[in-house]
Parts: sequence; C-alpha cells; structure tokens
Amino acid sequence: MSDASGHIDDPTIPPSCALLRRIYPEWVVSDDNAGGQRISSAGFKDTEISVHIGDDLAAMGLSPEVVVERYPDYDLAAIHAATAREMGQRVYREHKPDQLCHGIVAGKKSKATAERMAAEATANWVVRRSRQE
Amino acid sequence: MTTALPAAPGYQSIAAFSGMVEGSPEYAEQRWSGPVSSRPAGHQPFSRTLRLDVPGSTETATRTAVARLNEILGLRSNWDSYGAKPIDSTAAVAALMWLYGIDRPGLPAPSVVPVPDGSVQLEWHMHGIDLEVCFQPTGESACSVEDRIKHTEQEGSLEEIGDAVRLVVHELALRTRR
Repeated sequence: MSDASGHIDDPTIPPSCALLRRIYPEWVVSDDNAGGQRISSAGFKDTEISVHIGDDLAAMGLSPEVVVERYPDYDLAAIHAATAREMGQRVYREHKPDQLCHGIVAGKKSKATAERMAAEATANWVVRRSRQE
Repeated sequence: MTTALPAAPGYQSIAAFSGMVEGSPEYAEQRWSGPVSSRPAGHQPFSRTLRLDVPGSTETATRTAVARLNEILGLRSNWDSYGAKPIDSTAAVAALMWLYGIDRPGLPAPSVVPVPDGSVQLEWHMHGIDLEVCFQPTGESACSVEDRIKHTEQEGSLEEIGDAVRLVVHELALRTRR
C-alpha cells in the first residue's frame, strides 16, 4: 500500500516501536469526564503527521526527551506503530534535516482514527510539562 | 469599526464583529461576504490581523471563546513545530458564528484548539459528554458527539448531525446548571 508520493509502510519499523510526537501546549485540553486532561484529536488529523521513530533514537543512544530539548513549552507523547497500522495508516521514515529521526504516519484520518491516536498519546505521555489546567 | 457579518447556511448570524486590517482600507473588499460553506476556491480569506469581537450582551461561552480565537488567529506558520499553517480566519469566524448561535445560559466555554491545517476545533469534555466540532478552511465541518450517560454517539458534519449536536449542547448547559 502506497500513497500518491509512492511511500509504502516500512516493515523495518516494528509494531512495538514508539512514534513520538511533540504536543503543542494548546492541544492539551481539559477532560472532566476523565478527571484531568487529554491530548486533543486536533494534533492527529493531518493526512501526514510528523513523528520521531523511537527505535532509531535508541539506536543512536538518544533518549526520547531529546525530541523536546529545544522546545521547552511542548509536551511529548507516543503512539505505537501497531496502533497506527491498525487504523489503516502507513508508517515510514522521512529524513528532515531539522527533525531528529523523523518519520511520517500517513493516511486519511477519520475522526475516529484521530481520536484513537490522541487517546493512545494521552495514555503514553513521555514528557509532560507542569502547567495550570 | 463594527461591521455586520453575513449569516452562513446552517448558522445564525452573529450580531457584529469589529476588526480592521492594519493599513488596509480595502478591508471590506477583502472580506468574504458570501456563505462560509460556499467560498470559492482561491478566494482570499480574512486578513491575518483580523480581530474578532462580540456584543457585550453575548453569553459567556462565546465571550470566553472569542478571546481564545483571537489568540490562535495570531499563530504564525509552524506553530506546532512541524510546519502547521496559520489558522484560517474564515474557519475562526465560522466557529464563532456557530458558537454564538448555540450559546445559552449555563453553557461552559469550549476548549478552542488550533489544527495544523488551519482549522479550528471547539471541544467540550464534561458531564459525561464529549463534543468536538471542527471548522475547516474549506468551509466544511466535522463533528463527533458522545453522551456517556445516554449511551449515544454520532459523527458527521454539522449539516448531517447539526440537530443532534444542538440537543447535546442543550443537555450540556442543563447538566452544568444542575
């Protein structure tokens, strides 16, 4: 399965691999139903969303936190490659000089898909800055 | 300067807004005066320096949201650090017009969330209700609504499930007032 740009899902990215995404502060919204906060689906709607391949960072001896090192206001959360694929997404590497171990989660994202990924990210917060609710 | 906004199909007209493009007397010509949902392709939306405002008598949720909308209208390209587009002014106006139309006493202010493609998303997650309404630069909308108490769930555009969304908003205000 490939997209218009010819990208296919990369099987060398294992299902258990963490796909890390910086979370813009305004994507963290109040969720009284859960008694706290959630990451909004707004951050997971684009046809192509940028992520950082956790296994590639580890192979370089880097911790996930390095992804937000230059972004002191941003949180960091993870979804797993398996989840993205279950939702019909393709996961592949795409080199970007200004983004460390950059990858793409590509595919049309229904509201349900975006919400599922946001829910998984909420459950897998890697770096969470303290801020007022 | 205060200018009346046209009503878009499916939305009540907002009473007025004030806003002026700095150094741009052609503001009125730049302003799209047709329905939000039928803006022709290539039409230039509102200027980036637009500031939204509502009358003083407006319900609290809208007054709170308009401040947030103005904040996110000021976001520059790449605000999410991954190349996000600036927030589309037409999407912001559509969100404001819709909220103004459904606002009522007791309705809590929504979270106003910027979306990387320039859309604006309004969200409520409280009193057993999860409601998200996304206003896109294309003029389209996408909603999801879940009432965990009544065990109902729907997804679609405002045109498709607008009545259900309106009912849930009413329920949200009721549960907040209890």
